[in-house]
Amino acid sequence: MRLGFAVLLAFRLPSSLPARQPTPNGLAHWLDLTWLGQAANLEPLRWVFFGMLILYVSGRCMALALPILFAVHLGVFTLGNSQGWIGHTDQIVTLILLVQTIFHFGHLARRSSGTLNEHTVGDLEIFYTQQTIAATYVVAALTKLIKTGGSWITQLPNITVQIVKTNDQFYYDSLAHPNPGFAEWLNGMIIHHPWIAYPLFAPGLIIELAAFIIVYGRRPAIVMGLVLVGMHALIILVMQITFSTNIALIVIYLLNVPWLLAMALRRRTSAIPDGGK
Amino acid sequence: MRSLVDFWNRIPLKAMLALTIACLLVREQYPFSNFPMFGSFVGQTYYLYLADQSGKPLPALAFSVPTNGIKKFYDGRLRKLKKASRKGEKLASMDDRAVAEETLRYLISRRNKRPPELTTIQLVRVDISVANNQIMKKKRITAEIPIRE
Repeated sequence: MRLGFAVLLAFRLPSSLPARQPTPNGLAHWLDLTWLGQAANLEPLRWVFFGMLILYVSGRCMALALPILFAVHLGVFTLGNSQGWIGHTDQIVTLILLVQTIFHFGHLARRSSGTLNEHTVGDLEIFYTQQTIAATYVVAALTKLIKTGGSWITQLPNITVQIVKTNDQFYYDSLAHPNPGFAEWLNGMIIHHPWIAYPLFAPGLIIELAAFIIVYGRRPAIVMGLVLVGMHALIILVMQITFSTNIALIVIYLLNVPWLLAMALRRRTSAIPDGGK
Repeated sequence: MRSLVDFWNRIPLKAMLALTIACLLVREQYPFSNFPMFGSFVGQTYYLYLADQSGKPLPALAFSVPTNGIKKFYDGRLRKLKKASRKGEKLASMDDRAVAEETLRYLISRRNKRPPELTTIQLVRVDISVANNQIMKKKRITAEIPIRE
């Protein structure tokens, strides 16, 4: 899982950034982060980041690697989000690094005081990471309920204008992808039969609210992971919005592909009769 | 103090609970966010796109900003202006145009090279609504500014 997360971190780290912060956000309210946008600073920092990723994957010097990974990620993406508009792709990643850093320092403290419990470090690291992933979905659901005073579901038939907007925006990003016929067809159906919007999109709110289920074992994580991937697939299909970071994190931390492969392999080998040797 | 520690130890899913509360309270301050995307739906919305002097669309990503980023920038500047104006005072169309021009200047500053044939850049606003069981789109140019070398 650490390898998968490290690959995601390496791919998401930008190679260039604007060296200005016209609309400071987060840490940029108090710190000038523009130096991170200068190639002479960003390039060596990227190599430090990659070096720390190697330590992170090997599980060595975590007390050094994790704070550096967190600090670089926080700085770079805070600057990126201080350009006058905020994206929602990387918050989840920085939050995971924050939680993993706190967990590892807590683990070090418990080890030195002799109050360490029986769980392995790896298991707990995954447990806290899954809690972080779950929190972002629960927050998204609660925000919907808070913003609408609980009437988010009743507003769903109005989603048609949002579907048109996101599909058009996707086209105007690159002018390369004309609007898919499916979204247009679905929109027509919702306009003529507004009730369709309820069974189609209301489960999204329930799935987000129930995301905490993922921390209750491997099987709930896999089932909920598949449900979340399905929800993201529907969003891509209908609205052309790809939360690729979220999908990658679900595959890494919830679907647990290596464990699934190991189970399939074990089942296969146990199915071979002894006489087949 | 001891009972507080005991209470904290008894709470399940501590990290999730702490992050949920932090994200809802801190809202949009990186790395925290209340993830407000599609938090509510009303019957109308709009988006912005870029066009050249003849009205031909330009790809937003050539300016290193996606189309939804352009809208977020524009909305953020409008919100700031509304906050600064006196309570109850409506923003004039001139203010709206000033924000649109600021958005265009910001986008131009993000693009290193420009095609030689591009002399003017337009910010086009498309308002979307539903009327008579049909999607209605209304386009208008909110601002256009010449591009200087």
